[in-house]
Amino acid sequence: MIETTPYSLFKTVFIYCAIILFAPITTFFALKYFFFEGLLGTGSLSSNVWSAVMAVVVLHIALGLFIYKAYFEGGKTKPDEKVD
Amino acid sequence: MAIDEEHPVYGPFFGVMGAAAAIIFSSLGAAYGTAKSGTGIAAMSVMRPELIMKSIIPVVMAGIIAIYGLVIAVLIAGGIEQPTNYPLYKGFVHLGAGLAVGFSGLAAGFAIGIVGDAGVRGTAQQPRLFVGMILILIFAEVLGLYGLIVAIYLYTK
Repeated sequence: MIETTPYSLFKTVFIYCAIILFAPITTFFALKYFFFEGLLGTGSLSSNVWSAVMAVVVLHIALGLFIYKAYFEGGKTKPDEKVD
Repeated sequence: MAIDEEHPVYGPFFGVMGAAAAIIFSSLGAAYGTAKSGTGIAAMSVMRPELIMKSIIPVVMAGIIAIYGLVIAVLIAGGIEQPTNYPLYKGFVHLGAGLAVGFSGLAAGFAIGIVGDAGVRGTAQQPRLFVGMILILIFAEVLGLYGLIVAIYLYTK
């Protein structure tokens, strides 16, 4: 069991929140401009739609990772020792 | 192509309103969800600060509602053109897509806020409630996802 300090907790939550916020946006524009329009030469409409769908899929994968992490590792700290 | 009955000068107005409605109403729902579950987290963390990681989940899910709206708003904004290339039909479809994801996001955000508030407070006293809270939150979240699916389907018309 790893001791959770406030700093490590903040780091974990910050990293996961950054992934959840930026991964879908990056996925959308990277897939649209480099993969669908650059590599495959798909039309504007279908590349937009498929990039959006993939962005939402990536978003849910990131959310699932966060819930997994919170479920199995969150809240495992020992409560403070009682001081008399 | 010139301005005619099918390409009126006010055609893009509907599309613009669709893009605005998508992000405005989803952000409203997300803001309510964040604020409501945030008060629950703040009240709960005073006694059980080790549960913060678990109780952040409603806030993250409320944020995702706003990302749904953002995706559709970006799609619609990319599709808006000069009135001569933008038939009125497309404007109506874009308005419908924006309203679909916007109001679904508003509803889902309200649900996430109320469930998150009560769920986080309850989890502090009975940790086994956590699984139930996550399930209810997911069911609230898919309401927004349904709106997103309908909006993408409308957008491709």
